[in-house]
Amino acid sequence: MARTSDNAARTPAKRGGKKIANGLIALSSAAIVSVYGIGYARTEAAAAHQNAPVVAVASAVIPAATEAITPAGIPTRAPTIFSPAFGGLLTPAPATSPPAPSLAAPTATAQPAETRSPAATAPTTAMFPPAIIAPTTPPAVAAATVPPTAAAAAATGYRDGTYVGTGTSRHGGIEATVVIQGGKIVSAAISQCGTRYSCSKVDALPGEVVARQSGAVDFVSGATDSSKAYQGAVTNALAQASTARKP
Amino acid sequence: METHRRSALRMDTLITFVAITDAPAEVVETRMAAALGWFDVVEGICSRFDPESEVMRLTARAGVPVVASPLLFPVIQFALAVAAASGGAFDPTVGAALEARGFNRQYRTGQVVVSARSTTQTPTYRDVLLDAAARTVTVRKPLILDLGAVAKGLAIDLAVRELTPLTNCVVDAGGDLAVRGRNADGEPWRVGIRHPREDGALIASVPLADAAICTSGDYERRSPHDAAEHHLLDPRSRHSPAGVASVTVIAPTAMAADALSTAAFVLGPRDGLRLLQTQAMEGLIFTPTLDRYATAGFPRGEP
Repeated sequence: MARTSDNAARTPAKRGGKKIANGLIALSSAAIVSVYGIGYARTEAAAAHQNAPVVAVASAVIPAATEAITPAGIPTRAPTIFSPAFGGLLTPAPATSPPAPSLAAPTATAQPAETRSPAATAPTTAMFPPAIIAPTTPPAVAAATVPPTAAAAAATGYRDGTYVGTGTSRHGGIEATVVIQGGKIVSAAISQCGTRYSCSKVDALPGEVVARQSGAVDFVSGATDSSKAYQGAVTNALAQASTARKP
Repeated sequence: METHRRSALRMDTLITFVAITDAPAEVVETRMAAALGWFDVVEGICSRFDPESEVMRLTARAGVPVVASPLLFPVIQFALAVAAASGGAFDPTVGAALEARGFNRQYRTGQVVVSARSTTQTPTYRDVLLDAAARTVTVRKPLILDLGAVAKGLAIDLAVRELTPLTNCVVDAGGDLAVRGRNADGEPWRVGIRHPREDGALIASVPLADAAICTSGDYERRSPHDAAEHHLLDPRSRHSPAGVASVTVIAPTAMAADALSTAAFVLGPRDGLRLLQTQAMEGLIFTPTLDRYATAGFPRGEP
């Protein structure tokens, strides 16, 4: 296999290839830069109250600096991710700064568990310490201004609790620990790699361990057998959590 | 330098971050948490499995211009641009058809989403109108936008931006990757391409630097209703294309690689690779009989 950097697939434009005016690459790059520049705290808040139709808008694209994100009195959806590591990023950021990551250490550091966790223990491996998906609270104005989307929820849901599921790939078993809170998955962590290859404590999937040990590749493009085993383990755990009817 | 690695489940797939860096562990932790946060934001806005997501609320009423957020508008705009460039082979308005084929389970809650949107008037991408100056979107008839490919790519691109200051990093979202810097051997990241017919085997591998790679395959997700159908749909026939087993696209952004691998899958080897070439991207296509087609610049490499 060729390993020289000359053979590396780089950005085609950099290799002196034809530049496409108004091409899709340029369009995607512009989108990425624009969204990243706004910063996700403000992006999330802006999306939360984009629910009213407008017939005419006087101004052009509103620069983020002047956009009213949380005008007083208008409730917004709760952020869908919470982590002490983000600190003040979850509140609307000042107009001028892009999201500056807090350099303070996370306030609650999870110690990775190296042995099998009993089902009753909350999982601490493999997940960002306390990256918890907060249950979303519907905004109070929803009933008045948002037209019903007419989504019919099925009778099934998930019971709160911690569930352990197993999945298998050709390389061995994978165990996943899933925590349900408020009827939703708040974490799905790999809690064990039960294969004949050693699994590092930083949760490499067995298939990728095999690939790296053989020296062939660093990653695999295309959904892999191991990620399917992981999904199988999560599905297995969720099957245990599933209820026949909502409580 | 140390290797840091974290995984989490997002967008119904396994997300893995890898960073090889001198940065202190707290900085890596914070960067990776921020990168993961982008997946949550994008999913919350773009998911068709959540009736309360911005995209589902935005398309709830036909004929009315609705202001879209600064994230959703460029996502829809890009999806429509890919639709136009591919002559409709890629079309984000297939959402209702996908739902009918059983790709309708909100994986986080296990609830089945059934949207009361009429499917008697078949929509196309031409039924979605944009006003860039006002940042509004108008749907001309009831429809569901499936932004999966574009949204996942955008999340990957935003996440890798968060990790780029760490110098060497990879964002892997279920086999769609963006890479920066070099691997532990100081060389371009080596990416294997999954063999479309042999489980666990690789059919090719490529060295990758400062780019994104996406592979779409007919082996990924089967419809729970019809085993002959998978999750890739030709919007023009409403059936899964049968002439392609796997498409791999390399592009500067995951957003482009993800959407174009889907478009090229539907277009087939000849038209698919031609589209990639006109857009200055590289591609590799295998048919079900494992005939190989590739753009001129696609890196060669045996697994």
